[in-house]
Amino acid sequence: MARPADVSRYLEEAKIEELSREWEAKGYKVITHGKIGNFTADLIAKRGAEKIVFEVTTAKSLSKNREAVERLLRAVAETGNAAFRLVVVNPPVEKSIEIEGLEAILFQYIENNLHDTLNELSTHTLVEMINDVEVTALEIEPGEIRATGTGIMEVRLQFGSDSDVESDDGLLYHDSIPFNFDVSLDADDLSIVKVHRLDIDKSSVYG
Amino acid sequence: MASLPEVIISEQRPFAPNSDRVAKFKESLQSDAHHSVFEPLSGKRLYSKVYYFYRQPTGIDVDNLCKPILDALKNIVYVDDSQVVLLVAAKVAVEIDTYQLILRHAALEEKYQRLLTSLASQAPHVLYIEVGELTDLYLDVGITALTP
Repeated sequence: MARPADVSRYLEEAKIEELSREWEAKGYKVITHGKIGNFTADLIAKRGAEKIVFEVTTAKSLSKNREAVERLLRAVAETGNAAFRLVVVNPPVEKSIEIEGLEAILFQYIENNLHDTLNELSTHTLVEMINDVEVTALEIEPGEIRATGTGIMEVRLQFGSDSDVESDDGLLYHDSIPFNFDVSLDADDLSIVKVHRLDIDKSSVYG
Repeated sequence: MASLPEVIISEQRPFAPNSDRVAKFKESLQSDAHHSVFEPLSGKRLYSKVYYFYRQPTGIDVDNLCKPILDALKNIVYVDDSQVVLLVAAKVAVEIDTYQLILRHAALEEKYQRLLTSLASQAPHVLYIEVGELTDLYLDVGITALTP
């Protein structure tokens, strides 16, 4: 697992690259890790007499490197002909949405209601498990929760009859099939009230 | 050439106009302003920038952020807040948002240093308030104004 300092450095380097491309595209000559007096700036963009000095940091790194940033700012101010930009980047905030038992609820629904769709995948399709369910959007209304997201369906696909499989004329294998869902759940018992959409990515089987 | 703007950097938590705590906030901000500003700007047309950097979300909207601040600075930074004809405001979640502080003026270096110190200090709330004189009004239309 990456250490926080590594994540900060990665974010900073990624931003420096992005800024390099952006300012080159604007017609500036860009120098990364260039010198301003005795100090090193993350990026310097020059066009004619215009000079912009960038220092890229995360909010956390700024607390640790404040004095270095201040020294660089002073050095830039002393040149008298450059602007200073402090660019603050931050790691994305991870949101965690959990609906207890949603895998089991979706499993039950799929098993009971999607025979036809599942049997388009093979002669006999058996859903063995639902996992990696991620809720990407949640709307809560009185009495009802609407959840949208993705999941993975672990299936057993059988092509041919049982006797075909036994005689090696059929085919039996397991696959993981992604699906998208958009369902409304009863807020009390979390049973499915309505399925707005449940799309199985069949291309992952045929593709 | 326009004179240097007045800059106030405060670590007060701002409050909305209808909050019970807004009067205390304005008093504290006035105290911070008195330390930074010698006499009120007399120009007929002023601009103001209000940047609110926060680590702890308060839910305050930018419109509610500005009014108590502009009110509080009356007779300290300007004679009357009607002098302010252009206002730029932003609220920045310092540990979530990506942002660029564009520090253009070497003459304001001391103020910039103070802002950096506050931002680096883990202060839950930092207000950067700048008020300066306008000659002509430049009204940049379109998103380029927000992405220099």
